[in-house]
Amino acid sequence: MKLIARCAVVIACLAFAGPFDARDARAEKARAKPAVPAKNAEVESRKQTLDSGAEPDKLAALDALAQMSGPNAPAAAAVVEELLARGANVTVLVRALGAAGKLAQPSSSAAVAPYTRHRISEVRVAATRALARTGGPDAIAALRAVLHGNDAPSRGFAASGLATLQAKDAVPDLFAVLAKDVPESAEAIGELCTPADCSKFADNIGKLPFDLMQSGLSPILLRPETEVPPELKLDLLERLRKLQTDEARKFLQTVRASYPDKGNAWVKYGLDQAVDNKPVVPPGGAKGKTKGKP
Amino acid sequence: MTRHFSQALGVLVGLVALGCGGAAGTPRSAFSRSWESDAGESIAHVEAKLRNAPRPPDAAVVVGVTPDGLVGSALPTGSVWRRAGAVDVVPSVAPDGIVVASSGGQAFALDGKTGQPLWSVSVAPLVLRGAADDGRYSVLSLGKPRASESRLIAVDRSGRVVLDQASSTELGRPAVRAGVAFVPWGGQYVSAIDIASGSEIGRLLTRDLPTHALDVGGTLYFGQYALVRLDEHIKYAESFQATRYMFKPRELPGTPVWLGNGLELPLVDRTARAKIRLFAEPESTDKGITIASNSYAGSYFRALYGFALGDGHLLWADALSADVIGGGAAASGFAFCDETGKVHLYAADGGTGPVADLGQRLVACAVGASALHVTGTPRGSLATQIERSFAHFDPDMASAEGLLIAELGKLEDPAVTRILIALAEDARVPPKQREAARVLLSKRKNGVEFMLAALEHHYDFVSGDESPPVGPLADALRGLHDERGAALLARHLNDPADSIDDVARAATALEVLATSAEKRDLMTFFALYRATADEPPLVSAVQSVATALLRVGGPEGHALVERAVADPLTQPEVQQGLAKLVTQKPAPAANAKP
Repeated sequence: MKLIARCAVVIACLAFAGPFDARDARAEKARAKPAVPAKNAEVESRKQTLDSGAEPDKLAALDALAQMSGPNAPAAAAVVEELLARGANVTVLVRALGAAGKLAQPSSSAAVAPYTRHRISEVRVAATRALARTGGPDAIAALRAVLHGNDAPSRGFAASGLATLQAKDAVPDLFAVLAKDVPESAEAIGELCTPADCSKFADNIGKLPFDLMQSGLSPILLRPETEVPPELKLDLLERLRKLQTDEARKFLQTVRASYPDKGNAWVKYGLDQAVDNKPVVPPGGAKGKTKGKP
Repeated sequence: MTRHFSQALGVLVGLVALGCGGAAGTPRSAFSRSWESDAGESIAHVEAKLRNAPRPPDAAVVVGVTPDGLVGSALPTGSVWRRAGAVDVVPSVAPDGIVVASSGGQAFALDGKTGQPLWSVSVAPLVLRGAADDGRYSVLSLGKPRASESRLIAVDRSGRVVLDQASSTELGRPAVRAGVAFVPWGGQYVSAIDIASGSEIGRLLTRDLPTHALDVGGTLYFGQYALVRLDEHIKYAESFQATRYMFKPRELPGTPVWLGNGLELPLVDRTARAKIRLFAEPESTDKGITIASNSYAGSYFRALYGFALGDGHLLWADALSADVIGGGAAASGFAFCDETGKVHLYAADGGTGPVADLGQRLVACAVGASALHVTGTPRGSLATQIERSFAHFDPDMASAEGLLIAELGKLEDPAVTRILIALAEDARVPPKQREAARVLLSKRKNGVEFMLAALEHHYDFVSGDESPPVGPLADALRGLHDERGAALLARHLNDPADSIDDVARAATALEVLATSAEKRDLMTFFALYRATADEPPLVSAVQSVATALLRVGGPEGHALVERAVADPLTQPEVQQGLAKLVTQKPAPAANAKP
């Protein structure tokens, strides 16, 4: 139920704040058809095509490899990795990076990572997006490095990718780019932050543009209370209420509509209070009483 | 003996001539164009007469012009005085420290050491062009804007005008010695006028466009483009055989001139021209005329620099926190006023002396420091001085910055490498100057430790760090055959924030510097671009990297290059180049060490 509610608010926020890649990637992954099982002989055949075939043949071979899953996926990924190690033209590289992403093997990250530094943007972006799927320490390290790089689109994809990979260690990097025109970092922080990080993020309410902040506030408010305690959420709701702006009111209404009926009673109470423009303070004003009912 | 006799005779003839003039009661017209050349006889007599004439002691003073008056002080350390009332020209400062200016139709004199008023006379409708003082008389050349009408007056200490001669032609800036005024005029003459009688007792004809008569350290000089000295050779000035000197400073930003046209009125100039100046003081030696301290200085807004007289090489540099609006050369060193009212003294070697504060913002300034010997505190190496100067520069000082960058390149100091790197990286430095720094950096022969430290850095979006000047550093390291830079250069190959030109130059350097330790970075670069190189520098870089791989990459590197030759996807130009390389360098044996 909680999951459904989170999905609902995600859709709402998509309409509100524009596209964000991490969820997009996850959704795409979820929609993907089950990969077709293949035999190692087929992998070997595709490998030979990639070694010596013409461009159309190579593209077809990469498409076929990308469809392999299960026990054949590591072998298929290894073939793609070999191609990446040798290099190819832009068309083939982009297809190969896409294939590596679809095969989602952490072993591919080391082969994909150098392409995040390619001089051609199309290749850089394809590599950055692929890393969000291949995962593993190499991918996280490479994506963190991309945040420091000179390509704006790649930085955005890297921020989203780090959220996808649940790279909590990358939160300091995400904070570093938050105010430097990498809007995707807000959502990533919202998804990854510890309570202390979430409070730090909330300190930017009123300082950074609201449309940037809300993409991070939304996941914070909808994450399970085991990750983000209700006291912190109530504090955040009160800060939002105090903004007294139309965009904050609309945002609060959207979150309240998305918050699960069986969610935390205190948070629900806080949402009601905030939407009605009433102070969000637990009765008695004392913190630490949110375990009971409001 | 013969010489003494002829000198005595000269004095006698001069005095007779003086006496005759006076007796006739009709002074010879000082500014007559009908004068016929006397082959230097009359000026030689004047010189002989004045050779040992006494003169008052020199005094160093500064006088600043404020919007509503004057402010001044003795140098190097004196009490500040003030005089209310706006002036209409930059004052003249005589060697004895007497300050003369004009204001609202009145000319006035002050003791520049104390500000004590001396006299005031009506000069309307004229203003002061220049003045001199011999301790008894002040001689004033007066003029009018946009008119040739001029007037010469002499005023004694009581304020009595003892000489008043009008001229239909512009008069230059005068000097005076022992009651004889020297007045340049007409583009070729300097008339020597006996103040007491008003007679012209001698005339110098010189082709050096005399508009200035200067009294420096007891010696008189006349000229503008070149100077002739009043000495026993003055008789031969007409045929360029007098003691003559032409000061030829090096070309400087803004093209400042030394003496300028002495016929121009010294109106307060608030344009950039007043901030772009040249300072030098003539000095007499047994051999002739030279420039004091064998050095001269220039100003360019806030920038100050000193140069050697002979080859013009830079001796020192500095930048003030405010624009320089005036100054003067001293017997040894220089004095400069800035627009905040500070007066900065520099020794001839650029060491800093005391700073006087006139306590008010200035619009102009005049310094009489011809007898001052400034001693200063050293300010570190020339490279350090230049580096510190850059910190005070802003974009409109790019020309001065360019000059100093070029001078940096001539220094052997390893610190220059560090400074050039900083300039090349600094986005605030104008592109032309950054490029100049890059060019010089690529030729450096020392400071490798600074090169390596710079190459450690990469562009960083978060910290705001810019890419180092990889290309010039690669060129320099290649020139030095220093393999310590190989790993750092190899890492820069794969940094898309570096320019293609920089990457290509790094690759060229790696052809000779790379070791087997760089194999991975070389292979990565090769894989990334052998089929995607879309610009000539990148094509060239791939071929350079292939060359390095064939040299240090072992069988693995060789195989990578060979496969690229066979792959139809390899960029055609790259492929062509690789084929040649592979032919020239066959594959190593399988057990060969890279």
